[in-house]
Amino acid sequence: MSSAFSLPMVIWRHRALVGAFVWRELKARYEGSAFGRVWPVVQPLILFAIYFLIFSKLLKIGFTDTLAPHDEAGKGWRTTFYLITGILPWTALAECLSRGTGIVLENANLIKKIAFPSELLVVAQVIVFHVYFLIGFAILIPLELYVNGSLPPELLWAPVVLIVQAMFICGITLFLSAANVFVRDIAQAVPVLVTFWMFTTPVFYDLGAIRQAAADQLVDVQNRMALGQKTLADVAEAQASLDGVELGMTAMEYNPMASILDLWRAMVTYGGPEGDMTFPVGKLVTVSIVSVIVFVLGYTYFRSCKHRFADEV
Amino acid sequence: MSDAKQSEVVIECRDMGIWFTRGSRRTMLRQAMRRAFGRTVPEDSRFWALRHVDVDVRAGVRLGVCGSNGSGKTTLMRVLSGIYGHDEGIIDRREGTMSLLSLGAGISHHLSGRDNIYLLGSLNGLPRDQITELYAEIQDFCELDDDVLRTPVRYYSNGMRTRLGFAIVAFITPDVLFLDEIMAVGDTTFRSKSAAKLQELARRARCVVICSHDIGFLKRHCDEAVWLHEGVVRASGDAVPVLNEYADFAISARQVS
Repeated sequence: MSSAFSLPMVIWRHRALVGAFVWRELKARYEGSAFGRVWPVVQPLILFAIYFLIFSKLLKIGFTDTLAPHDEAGKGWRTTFYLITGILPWTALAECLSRGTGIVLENANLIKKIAFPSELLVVAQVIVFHVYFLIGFAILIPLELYVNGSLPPELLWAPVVLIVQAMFICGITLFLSAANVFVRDIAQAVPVLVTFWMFTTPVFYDLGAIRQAAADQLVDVQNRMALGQKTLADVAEAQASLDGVELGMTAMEYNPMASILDLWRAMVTYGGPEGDMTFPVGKLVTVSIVSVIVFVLGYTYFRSCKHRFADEV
Repeated sequence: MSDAKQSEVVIECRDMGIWFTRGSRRTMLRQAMRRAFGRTVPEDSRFWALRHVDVDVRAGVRLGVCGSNGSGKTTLMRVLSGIYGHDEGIIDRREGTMSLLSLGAGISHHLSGRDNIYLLGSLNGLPRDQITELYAEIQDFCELDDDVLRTPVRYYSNGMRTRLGFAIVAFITPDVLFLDEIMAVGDTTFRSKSAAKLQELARRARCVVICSHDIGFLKRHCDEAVWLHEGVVRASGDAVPVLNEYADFAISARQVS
């Protein structure tokens, strides 16, 4: 097992190679594009604008902004913070998984001809998408300064959460990229599964707000039943939908990505549940343990079959 | 030659074997899963490319590998240099860097020549500052000016690409150098230049493993030789007797057919 933790050493020893891979990826993405290096900044902004319009203005799912009633300044801003802290980590995960799954196969000509630690291909991929993540995350800083005039001290947790998130993503990507060498159907299945995972993770919706709305609805129906406007069946229906939301919230406890999003959200103003900002250290500990396990399993699997890559790719 | 025999072993390979899967692959999910999650492939679909191979690569020795087509020469080179893992036996790499030279391997076409020098240098284990040190020499050797090296490689002519590829590998100085049918490249001037560079490279490396069909070439350049036949070592030892034996075999095989 100890060898599964040797990745930092491998990365350090081959740091020039990691740098060259990262550079190659960045160059490949923007080579020949007129705006080149502006894209990493512009892309998340545009994405954010689209999601903001669709989810908050058109669909109005759980973004009533009634959740920060104790702070007038927060009115109108919660959705913004909530969406940014959801979209950025999610994009990092989704891009790593969909680009990273095929990375070993794509580099067949290297793997067949040169002996080098192939896990660094995956590592470089994870680094690239976390560079984008950080560029996007930097947008939050002027935003915080504008809305609050200061930066929340909880942002100091960011490096820790960043490492936990990168480890989690790296573990999954290592597993997928290695397994995909042998079972190439994985590359076909990953985009579908990532989409499914996205909708089962509160990236664009706020379960807390949805639960609040369902609870309000239940109280309303009960009151109106007392006035004789609603029947017992209506109450049961409202109760069932509240139970459904609560079941969903329990299920989220088992979705590490949902917890990672919660951690990011707890760092920014109005991002946390009910707009509060107590950093959930307990949740961080749990997610860290899960990430380490995912990473060790993924890397152990990768190491166990990488000696067959040159033959199979 | 007896001196060489005493010298320190850099790569020790004992009873080594490697198998590949025979027949069409990835057709059945069950077989694919088996390859992905357990390494056991049924014995009848395995084919041993090399088996029971004992080879010592010693410091200061140039080892030649000969054998007819399909005898496992390239596989042996790849296993010894660490590109392939082995399935049986022991390979003990004592120390140092290994490099199997292959021209143009890993050149990224959307990167500039300069970026490729850094990428391929670091792929072959050179630290960044060492590449920076060698940069002027590499540029000089491949005869490409600054403007060209700033251009993405996909706009290069074939000749430019070959020269770049050769220049990069020519400046890697591994402890063990593997040469698989290497080859001087380019026009007449560049060809003699690259041949000279290869000689120099071979002199600088602690040990060299060369595989070739050219028995004369191996006789001129190697101290020891291994003759592979259908995945097993048919003979090994001092270069001249082993190569003569192989040459006799090759001639008689031709007469039979």
